[in-house]
Amino acid sequence: MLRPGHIRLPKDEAAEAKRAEGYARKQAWKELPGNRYTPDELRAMSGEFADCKLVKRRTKVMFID
Amino acid sequence: MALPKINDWPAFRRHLKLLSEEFPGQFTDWVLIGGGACWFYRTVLERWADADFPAPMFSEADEKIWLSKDIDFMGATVAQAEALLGAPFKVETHTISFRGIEVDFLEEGVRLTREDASRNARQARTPDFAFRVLDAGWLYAEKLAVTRSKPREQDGLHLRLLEMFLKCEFCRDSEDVETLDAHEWVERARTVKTADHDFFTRDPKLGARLQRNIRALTNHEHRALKHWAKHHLPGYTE
Repeated sequence: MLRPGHIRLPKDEAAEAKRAEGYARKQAWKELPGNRYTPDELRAMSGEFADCKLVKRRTKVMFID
Repeated sequence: MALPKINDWPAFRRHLKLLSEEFPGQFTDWVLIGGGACWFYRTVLERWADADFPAPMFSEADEKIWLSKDIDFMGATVAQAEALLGAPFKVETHTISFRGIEVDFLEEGVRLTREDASRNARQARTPDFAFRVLDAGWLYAEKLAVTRSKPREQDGLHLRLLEMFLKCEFCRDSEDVETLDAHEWVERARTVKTADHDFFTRDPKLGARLQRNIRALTNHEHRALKHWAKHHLPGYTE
């Protein structure tokens, strides 16, 4: 039976602490200079995806052409 | 308009294409999550240019933290990814380096599991490659769960984007009668409302447009949506 989305998985405390450490380290890495896209880079990327076409639904397929 | 040469493509799309070419057998099992998935939905929403639900405007300060250069997936364990990418998992960055790309494979989110991600992925296709991206409703639910336990500035920006995207998509889908799958629509609405109870009632524009769209549906196969509206859109009548 599928687990309803609002019921959280049981968490192991040790594993949870390890994940929290990893999360903090990853966040620290993101904060370092050069590890985020600049506003100019985002604008350039936005332009490149402007031709994104989204078909789908029944098949859950998105098309970009 | 012709697409630019691959080397001119901005990094995010180029990185996805590189991974798809290098790992054709596995890439289609990976599901893009995190900021990269939010970025993808942002580009889609910008292109839709919907009058009611436009892409949010972000300040220059917001843009500086919007998207980091690592790419997050679900769909492989760290051990599988290490073997495949031929590089060790770096504890300090929580990523695996592959040809200049920092790739992370998450085995579990705050509430999202790999099975959830796999079952609720959508396929995106470009002329050159395809990739899977986590459904926006599930992404929204996960982002909400993240912000409740570990608030980060970028997550607030991503949530603003996803909320607008979902409002727009729910409306657009209910207007596209030819492709509307009522049961799928209701399932996605349930996912979003479970995570955000007031989602469908706090924005009058959303409520009014959905009421109008759903009232106009006449196909018998869309009756699930009408039933949903009676229970979830205050004041909805036929």
